[in-house]
Amino acid sequence: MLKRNLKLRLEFYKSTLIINLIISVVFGLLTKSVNAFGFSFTLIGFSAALFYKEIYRKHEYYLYYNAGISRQQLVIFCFLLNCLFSILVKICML
Amino acid sequence: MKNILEIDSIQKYVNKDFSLYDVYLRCETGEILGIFGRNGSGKSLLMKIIFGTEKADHKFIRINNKYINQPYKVGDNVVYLPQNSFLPKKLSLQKILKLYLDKDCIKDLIDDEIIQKISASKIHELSGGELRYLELKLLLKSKAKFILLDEPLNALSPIIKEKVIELIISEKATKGIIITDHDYNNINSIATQNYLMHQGSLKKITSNEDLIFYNYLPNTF
Repeated sequence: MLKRNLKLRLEFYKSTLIINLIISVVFGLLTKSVNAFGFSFTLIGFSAALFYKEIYRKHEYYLYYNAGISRQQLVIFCFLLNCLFSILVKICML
Repeated sequence: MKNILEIDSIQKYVNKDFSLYDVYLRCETGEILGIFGRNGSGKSLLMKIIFGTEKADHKFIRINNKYINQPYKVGDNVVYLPQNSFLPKKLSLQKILKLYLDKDCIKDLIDDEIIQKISASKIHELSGGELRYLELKLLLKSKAKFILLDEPLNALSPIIKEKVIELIISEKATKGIIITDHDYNNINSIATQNYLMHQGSLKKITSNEDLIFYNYLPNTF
């Protein structure tokens, strides 16, 4: 049950990555700042990915609801992973 | 084990012309409740309120005498088949099965003519009927105590419709099932109780005459 829960959360996370990465890399390159990349990856790009899902893939949330995972839990999980990734990128660039 | 789902006192204001009120339902393991109603009568809204993804102004939901605010969040209580497909198009069927089911359940699920035919496909490669059948089977083979099906027979070919009905009947023994659909004849043939959503409230239906009385079926039916 826990394993399935984690696998589904990671699947949701993967589904937000393409839009988030494209926006965040562009944002980082335009500003030439790792901090800007991290900020976008955690907030702006991630919000854009969620917005895209809300408009075009809203019904797919039922895949997760049917496994007992709420939208709030998915967003918090992804946000924390994005924070972790941004911190790791920042540390690597120091 | 017999499980009992009770839904009572559901109230939801939607707009000045429509609100849900006076809704009471009780579903036990082994029962199939059919809910009919015109388009826009609030059937899907009611299903989502029961499932827990839609808020209501007031609701009281109990499973096995235990009050639960959002049933979908707690254990293997309830699953819901929405009207639109919920499986991500990019994923393969194999990936979905691994994500969703235990090994034993996967064996049980793929031991099926239709599923075997599409087992190497990605979701976007499936026809509407195949996709609906897959979604339905995924949910019916889950460990959930109650299954909410929102128009499961919509736009299915007669052969797949028949398979879906067989599938629902075969899972009835271990689950309670609530179905909304416009396919009156098919649902009526498998349902143990029928209800009509009429002007925001649920009316128990015991015969075709009741449905004619509430203007759901034409007088000529």
